This record gives sequence, structure tokens and C-alpha cells, in this order.
Amino acid sequence: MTRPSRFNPLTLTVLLVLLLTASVRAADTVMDSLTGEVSRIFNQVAPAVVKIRAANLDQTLAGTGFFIDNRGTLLTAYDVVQEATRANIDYNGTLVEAKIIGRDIRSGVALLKADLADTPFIVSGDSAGLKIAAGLVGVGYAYNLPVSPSFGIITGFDVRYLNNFFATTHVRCSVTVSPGQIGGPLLNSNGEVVAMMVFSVDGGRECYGIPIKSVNRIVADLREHGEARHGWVGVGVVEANLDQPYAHAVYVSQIYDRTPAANCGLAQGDQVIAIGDRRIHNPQDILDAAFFAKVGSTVPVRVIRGDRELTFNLNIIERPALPQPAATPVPYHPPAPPPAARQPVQVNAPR
Amino acid sequence: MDELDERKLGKLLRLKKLETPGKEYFDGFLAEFQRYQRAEVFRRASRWEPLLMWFREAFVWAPRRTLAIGGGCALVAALVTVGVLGGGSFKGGKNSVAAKANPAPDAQVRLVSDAGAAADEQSVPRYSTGRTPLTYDQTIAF
Repeated sequence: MTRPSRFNPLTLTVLLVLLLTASVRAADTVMDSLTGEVSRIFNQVAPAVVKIRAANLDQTLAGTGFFIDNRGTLLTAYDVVQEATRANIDYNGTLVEAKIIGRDIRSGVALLKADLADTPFIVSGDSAGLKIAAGLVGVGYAYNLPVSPSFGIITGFDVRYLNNFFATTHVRCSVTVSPGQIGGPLLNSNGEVVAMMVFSVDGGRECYGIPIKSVNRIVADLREHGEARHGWVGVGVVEANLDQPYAHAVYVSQIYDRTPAANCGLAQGDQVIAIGDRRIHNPQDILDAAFFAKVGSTVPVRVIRGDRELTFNLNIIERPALPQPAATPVPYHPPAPPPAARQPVQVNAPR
Repeated sequence: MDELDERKLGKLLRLKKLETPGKEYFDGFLAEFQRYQRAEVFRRASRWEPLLMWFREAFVWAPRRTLAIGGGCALVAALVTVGVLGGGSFKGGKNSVAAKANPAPDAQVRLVSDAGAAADEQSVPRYSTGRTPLTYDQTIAF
């Protein structure tokens, strides 16, 4: 006697159909949800995003900007205004002149001010908490078309693009950028600006955004001094080759003349392990630490030399436009694996 | 007499319907047909025959079609003639005074006409692409 099957073919077919139907419904729900979220964010911030025109020599530059307060203060990318002396914004269909408060070619940030009151503005979010694969919404004016959104995800955090280093870590994302959208905000799911589009790559299929925390640091300088003041101690570094056993280490490769680092005791081959409170594991850490160092302050730089750990207190000065390396820089190659014992030694740099 | 003649005539006609030519006739017909075919093959066509054929087809067999095509061609020809001969005096003409006073706009094409643009937006701006690295260093220093 055979035992009867618990599920006959008809029951299985019905279950399969129900399962497929549920899957399709779930997909619809996710797509609808995503559409709703992007639409909500776009409608929330679009009034605060404006079209910018700037007259630079005999050329008119065009791009996007956005209000960061209700008094008409605007952020945009340096590439939108470059060295222009005046700029206009298209605010609610009216052309309004905007004063260029300051610009920073190194970070690619420009700050403008229009004589407007009660302007809608976008709140700054927490760019330090961004994670790979997080969704971002970009908003900007492509060509002379109306403002439009684009959606993408964070694909990385880079300090280097091909052979060039950014001033600080940038957010790489798959938000498409058309000409004219540079300078627009990149927004998180709360509709807060977490980065600003400054650099498009791969024909506009991806873009780099400078995190809003870094933007705010530049904005503070532009408000206070009318120009960005980048920190400088005069130390060139090189990253260890990844095929070496002690990888992800950063070593002093050269000391620049007439800088706080000159004659302070730092030497080629010292392994940099911390700048201030920030631990150094790779060049990204170095650039971020230098980017946020305030001119006029003192920062402790901790290094490992041989079997000893040394600390040098260096004054931060303003970074020159073209730093001059030491007269006879010696090419430096990272050393062998580190020693086991480390003896902390305090060394103060001459002021 | 008349009735007889009519009856005889009807009978003769009925018989005529059943009458068929003899075998010689069919043999001769085939030979005559093949001779005609050969003559057609070797016959040299007259120089004017295609033209006569075309006229016959155009105006005898399908006159409406010919009139429609001809009318259309005449209209196009008239428009082209007016455009070419009258171009110099038109406002949009290449050599007109108006065209020289208002030269053609820049070669760059605006994607969408912007009716509300201000005067300083008349020229096509350079839309920022952010593809030019600014001061990105090739070495790391702080």
C-alpha cells in the first residue's frame, strides 16, 4: 500500500502562482516606494536649487547652486564661476545678481550671496556617516532645461582619481550628471545635503561630490577671510607598496624648505602614524587630517623611527600656491617591516 | 419558299457550329505562328516606337495618372523657381541687407529656446561639466 502524496499537482500549481504573484507585487511596492522617496526629496529641495550664470572674461558660465540659509547665501562649484567677477541666479523666474563672496580652486567650492530674504534652503546632513551603497539624489539644471532629479548610490570614497589627488576625500556615486548640473546638491534620504557635485567622470555617468563637512570647513574660511586657507607643514609622504608585508603605511618622503617641518627633526623614512587625533593608515587619512587642520594652530605629528615612537608638534601655516620641495630630495622607498618595541619620545618643533 | 429557306438556313447554321477545320489547318496554324514569332524577334524596332508607346500609355491608356504626376511636378518646379529667383529680395535671403545686418547666431545650438532669458543670456553659455581637474596634486604633501 502506497502512502498518498500530501500535495497534489493542483495544490502545488496554485501555491506557485500565488508565490509568483506575491513576488511581482513586492517588486511593484519597492519600485513605487523608491519613486515616492525620490519624488518627495526632489519636491522638498527643488525650490532651493537655482540656475547660476557667471560672466568670466568673454564667456558665460552656467551651472547649478543651492541656498544654504534663508538670507540668500548660495553654494556652488568653483567650475561654475571660475574667476568671474559677477554672477546672476535665476530665482523663481527672475534674474537676481549674486555677489561672489569667495572661491577655492583647490577644493572646488564657491560661495555666493544674493540680496534676498526668506529664501528656501537645504539643511546640511551628516556626511561623516555616509556608507557605500547608500542612495543619493542629485538635483540640478541640465543645460537650460528645468530643474531635474537623478538617483544613484555611493560607489566609493576616494582621495585619488587616476594620478591626481583631491584636496580631501570625495564621495564617488553613480548619480548621472549632465552639463550644467555641476554645483548641485547630493541629498540623503532625509532631503539633507551631504555632498556637492564638483567633478563628473566617465562622460557624466558618475560623479564626485565633496562632502558637506569639507564644504562647511571651506565656507567658514570664505566667510571669515574671503578665501580658503589650507593648512601646510611641508611634509611630503609616500605610501608603502601593497605587496610588502607592512602595507598601508605612510612614510615621510621629503621635507619642504622654509616650512614648519624643515629642521624640526622629522626625517625621510619616518613612518607617520598619527596627525592630531587621527590615526594614519593611508594617504587618505593624511589628506583629510591636513584638510581640516586650521592655520595658526599646532598639531602633533606622531611617527615611528626605527624602534622608537616620536612626536613632533608642528605649527600649521597657510599652504603656498606652489610648494617648493627641498633642494635635493632623495627618492625614498618604504623600509622593511616595523620593529616590535616602541618607546614614546616627545619632541617639540621650534616655533 | 421563304419558310423553307429559313429552315434550311437554321439547319445549316447548326451544322456550321459542329464544323471543325481539318488537320492541315492546325498544322499550318502552328507553322504560321512560329514564323511570326521569328519575324518579331528579328524585326528592328522603329526609333520612335518607344516614344509613341509612352505617349500611347500616358495619354490614351492612363490619362488621369499622367495628369496627377504632371501637376505635382509643375507645382514643385514653380515653387523652386520662385524660391531661387525671388531669394535675393526676400528678408531671409542669404545676400539680403537684412541678413547682413542680423548675422546668423553662433554655431552652437541651444537645446531648448528660452523665451524668458535675459539679454545677457542671448549667447550660449558654457555649461559646467566639472570634468577639468583643478588643483589636484600628483603627490601627497601636508
